Amino acid sequence: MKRAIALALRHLGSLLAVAVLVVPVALVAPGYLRGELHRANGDWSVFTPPPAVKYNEALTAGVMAHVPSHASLATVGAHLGAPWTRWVAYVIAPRRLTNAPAQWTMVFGEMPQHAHLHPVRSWRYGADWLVER
Amino acid sequence: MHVVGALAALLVFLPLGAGVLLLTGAWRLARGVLRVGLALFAGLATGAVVLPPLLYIGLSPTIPVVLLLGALVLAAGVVVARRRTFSAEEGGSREEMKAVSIGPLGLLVIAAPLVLLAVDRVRTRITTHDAYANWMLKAKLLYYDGGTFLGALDHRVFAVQSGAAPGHREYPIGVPALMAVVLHGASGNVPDAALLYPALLGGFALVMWTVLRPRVPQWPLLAGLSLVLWQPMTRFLALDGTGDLPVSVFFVASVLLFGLWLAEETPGALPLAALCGAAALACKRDALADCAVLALFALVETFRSRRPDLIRRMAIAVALMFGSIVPWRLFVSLHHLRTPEVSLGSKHLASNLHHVGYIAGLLAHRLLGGNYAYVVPIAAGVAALALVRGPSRRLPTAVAVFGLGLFAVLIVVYVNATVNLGSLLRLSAGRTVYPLTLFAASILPLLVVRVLREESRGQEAR
Repeated sequence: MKRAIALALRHLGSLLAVAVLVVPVALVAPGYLRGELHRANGDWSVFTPPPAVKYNEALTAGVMAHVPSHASLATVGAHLGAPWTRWVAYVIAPRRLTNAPAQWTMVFGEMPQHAHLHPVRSWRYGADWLVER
Repeated sequence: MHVVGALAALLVFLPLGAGVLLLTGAWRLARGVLRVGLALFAGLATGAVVLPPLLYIGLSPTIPVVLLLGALVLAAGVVVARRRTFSAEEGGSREEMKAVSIGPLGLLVIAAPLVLLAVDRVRTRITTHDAYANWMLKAKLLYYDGGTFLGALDHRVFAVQSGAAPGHREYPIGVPALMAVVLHGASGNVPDAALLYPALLGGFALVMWTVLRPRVPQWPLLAGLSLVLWQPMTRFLALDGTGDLPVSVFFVASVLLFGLWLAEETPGALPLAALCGAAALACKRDALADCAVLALFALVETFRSRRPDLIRRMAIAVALMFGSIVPWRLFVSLHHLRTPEVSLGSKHLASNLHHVGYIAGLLAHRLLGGNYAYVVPIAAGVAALALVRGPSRRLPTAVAVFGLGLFAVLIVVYVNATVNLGSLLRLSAGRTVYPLTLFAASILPLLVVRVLREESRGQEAR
């Protein structure tokens, strides 16, 4: 009899342990499922920026299309410390953004000639330009 | 196809891990599928430790390099394991260790959340600032630069201040190096290569099973694994693509294995624990604080045994664990890379000291949040109950002391902040407490079962 009680208690212990460990999962499950549904409705491309990052997607796509990988890119009219530059650096890698003059330049908000650049080739993306010197 | 390539690239770490298990004597810890999973996890841990120094001397983190390394380590492992078996048989002291295995139910409970997570992972782009400005940018650069064998670390980006260089160049590069290898399989597709994250989590779940299964009945352990794998923060960090999940799984795996060795001197557990600790240190700077607490705790616990042989072995393991950071620290020092956020003994220490209460309060507030499935308060409650009820107080005392140590060291880190403390805490506290919550979640099944077992023994006696 004692053995039977001990056996029952041992299983009861396991059941109680399972209950203690499953309760937190049950508590957080609804939020988890809501997150899954939200994610399932999402739509994105490689150029879609993260929230709060605003940048010229077409220009970045142009960089990917025209600038050879491993080339360096200078910028005119933009500060490399701006938050969006990190995102652009990630998207265009292994091309590198640089502070120094380079064969390739992204010109923001003005004509390449106004920035004293003499392009061999140039592409316009809205108000911004991609220039090869 | 990128997904298949990424999965195949993950498998190249298998020979390396198998070799490490043979070398360390941890081969007999598990058998069957569990052994394969452990080998993969050990391979990834070894990759995180070994690939960065290889990068510093000019080798690339590519599939052929990992396979060559794996072949060398596996060959050495086979030789060492044969010699070990031979000498044990000669001495007539061959002790049979009972290897742990995992059944279909255990595999299902681990695989279900991981498959969902993996599907989510390949469908989720990288959007967290830390991930695209630091971790994944470094991984992409390591993947695209260099050839099959040489030259992936471009010093213009990793060592010299340039235009939009990756953030935190002073961080160790274990995670970007692992990611770069998987990127070679995924043809440069970052979300697919980030299948590394579910793989690491799966490996950790198998370590947890290996350590706890002989001590915890199946159902409570399955519930405990679910608690780890379904925890919202686990999922968030796995999709995030930063270094927080890798550093946490390697660190807590190290804690569990050190615990196993301290409790039972299980052969192979100590070197594997040191390897996982070294892997955590190779992933993120944060691990320095966590591993310091772990090393201190392990050394004190070993000293209490008053056995010189154990003290010597533990001291060697801890020294090797911390010795693994020497190449990284040399690289950082040689290139004058400094962290802009935290510096131990900084002049900001005095001005931050009166914020200790604020820091502790904010960290505690995070720990009590639903994102961590309330594991820390539950574990603290169960440990307190076990301490009060007794009779065996070793485990709850160890859990409480170690948990408090991790919490205290976080406060020390934040007190040494050199930037605005409020914004640093708001940005990072949710992630820096994760190793503590993962530890609490993984040890909880053992704690609960011990408490209930003592309770049932007490009732049985009455």
